[in-house]
Amino acid sequence: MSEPTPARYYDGETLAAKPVLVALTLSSLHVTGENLDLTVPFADAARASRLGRLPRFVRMAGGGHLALPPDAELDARIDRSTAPSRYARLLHTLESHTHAATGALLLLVVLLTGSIWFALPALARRAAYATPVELEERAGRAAFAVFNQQIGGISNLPPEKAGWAQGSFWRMVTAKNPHVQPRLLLLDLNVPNAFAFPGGIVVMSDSIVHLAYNEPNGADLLCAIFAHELAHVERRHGLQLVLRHSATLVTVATITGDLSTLTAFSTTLPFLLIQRGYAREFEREADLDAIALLRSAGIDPNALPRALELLEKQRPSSGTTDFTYLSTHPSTEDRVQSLRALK
Amino acid sequence: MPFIFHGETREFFRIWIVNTLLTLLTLGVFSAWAKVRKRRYFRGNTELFGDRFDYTAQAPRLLIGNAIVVLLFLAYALFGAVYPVVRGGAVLLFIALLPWIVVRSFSFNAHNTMYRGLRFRFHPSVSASAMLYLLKPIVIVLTLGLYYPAWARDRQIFSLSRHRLGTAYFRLELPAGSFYGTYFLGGCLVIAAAIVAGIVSFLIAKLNDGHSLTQLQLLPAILVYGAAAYIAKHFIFAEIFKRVWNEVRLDEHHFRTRMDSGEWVGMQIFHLLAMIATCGLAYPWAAIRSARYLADHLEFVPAGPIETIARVGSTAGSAVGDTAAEFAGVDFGL
Repeated sequence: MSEPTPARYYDGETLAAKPVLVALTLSSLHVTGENLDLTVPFADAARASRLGRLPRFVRMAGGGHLALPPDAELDARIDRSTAPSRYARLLHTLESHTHAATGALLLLVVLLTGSIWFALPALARRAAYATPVELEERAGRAAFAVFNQQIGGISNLPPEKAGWAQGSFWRMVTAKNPHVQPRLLLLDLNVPNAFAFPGGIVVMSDSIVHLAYNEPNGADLLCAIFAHELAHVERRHGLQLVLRHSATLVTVATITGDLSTLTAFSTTLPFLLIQRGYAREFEREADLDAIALLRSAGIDPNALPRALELLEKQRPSSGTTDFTYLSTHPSTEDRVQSLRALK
Repeated sequence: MPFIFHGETREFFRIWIVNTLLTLLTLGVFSAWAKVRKRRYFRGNTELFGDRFDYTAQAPRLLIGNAIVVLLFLAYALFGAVYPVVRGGAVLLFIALLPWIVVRSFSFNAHNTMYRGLRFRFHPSVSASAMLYLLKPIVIVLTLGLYYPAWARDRQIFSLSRHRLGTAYFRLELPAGSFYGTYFLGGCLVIAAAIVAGIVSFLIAKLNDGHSLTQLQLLPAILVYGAAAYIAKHFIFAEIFKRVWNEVRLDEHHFRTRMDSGEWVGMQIFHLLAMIATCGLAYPWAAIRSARYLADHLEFVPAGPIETIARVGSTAGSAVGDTAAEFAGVDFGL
């Protein structure tokens, strides 16, 4: 029998707490106190695993509870007599050592950066390419329906300009020969803007067509923009983005442990930054693809930086709230410069 | 009789970092164990009358809840992208289930929180919960938000008054207009920040030759607004905490809090800055400091012996509700 250790005893019937002495024999706990003399076999005493230096709560058959003070020797004796699971012991050992914590910290940083920059994007890419075309088209139509309901406006381009834009679009589609059947929808949006939905719906605002129409070699400018949007389509960027966002959200939620923290300022900020990083990466990819496509179609690749500059100049002057195009793109100046440097 | 919090930053940091790593290594499966250990750590380090609280939840029960919620979310995010009907359906299903989820979550956590060998208990009422989480939000919308402070009060009363410890009942009574002053101040702060943010953006736009703002140029406005919203959130938390815990009764016993809203807000700003500077690694430090502050400023004032409080039979809640309720940002901070 071990030296008796002072502990607290609760009978499980009332909120009364009783100071007791606990001694361990080879097979049982011996609890003595005022009007109390209990011998409880280890088999009838459920103990929580060790955690930090918390007191160890022991729930005994019959409803009584013991709170044993954190005491290394006592813990070791209990563990020896009752053989806790190997995992519980290992976990507690890791949690108690500074070296283990330092190692865990380093490993965590490596794993997190690795998964956010490499593993998740790679998985999302595989999943996006493995998605059946039919699903991709459905997703694109669903997203477009929402967009059209909220922002869409019927195009009022004169037929010759619309035909001119469609002509440039089909020239690029023929050169690209993408895995889906793309189509161009001209819409009257209040800002010069163009974007692609999964499955091949490409939207362009009337104002871009007007702008390009008045420029020398305007058709090349439209081709450059279409080449960029078709690159998004071919590389399934839309799907990849949805997949990456969901995966990061789940990762952040699991790591922080509390889903409620997702609404907190401190977790939304990094999440938004990761998202922006992903979007920028796709824009760069699409720019490079566009240059290659323009070259193969026999168009001066200079048309892309020229088109970007044209759009930049036409950024609406009053405080508009539509940032969709510019916000997710790397700064136009950067893009123009890096594109010019490519040649 | 003061509450005493014994948690230590270094100890909790080690526990947190090891558990977080295991969560990542097991692709999230371990998160249920991590959550139980975290709650056990905080409850187990809280002392009253020389005795610690205990958290007895079984991780596998949380695991099932986690799995269901993650599946629901992925169905919403991924299938919803292809079939909009699924997205709408998932949202409606979640809203319809919310009253049940909240009640189950309170029950689960109450059942698994123990003090001196007795369990807490939440008296579940799905109809009262539906009233609170389905009908009253409609009133908030109809009154353009004016009803919100009254709803916040109802929520506090709902969550606290339905708890009991053994045979002792928690009771909270607050006059109808209790939180209006608090929310008015918080609202003023946010509106003032919005105005400042607007002016700043306008000035930047002026300097910008009248071009619209890029996201970078919007940053000052976002920061001003975000900071104000953060301050308002913690100010409102502190004010509500004070009001509530100075009124709560446990049978004839009551509580007293000396919390200072200014101190609390200052502390939370400090925590946020530290979290940003350390990429989140300051989290254990911030969590321990917050818990210690709350315990240090909360007292239990017994009106007589508490030993007369006795046990009643109880039923366990469900862990699905537990995780799902966090999704909606509902959790109780006892």
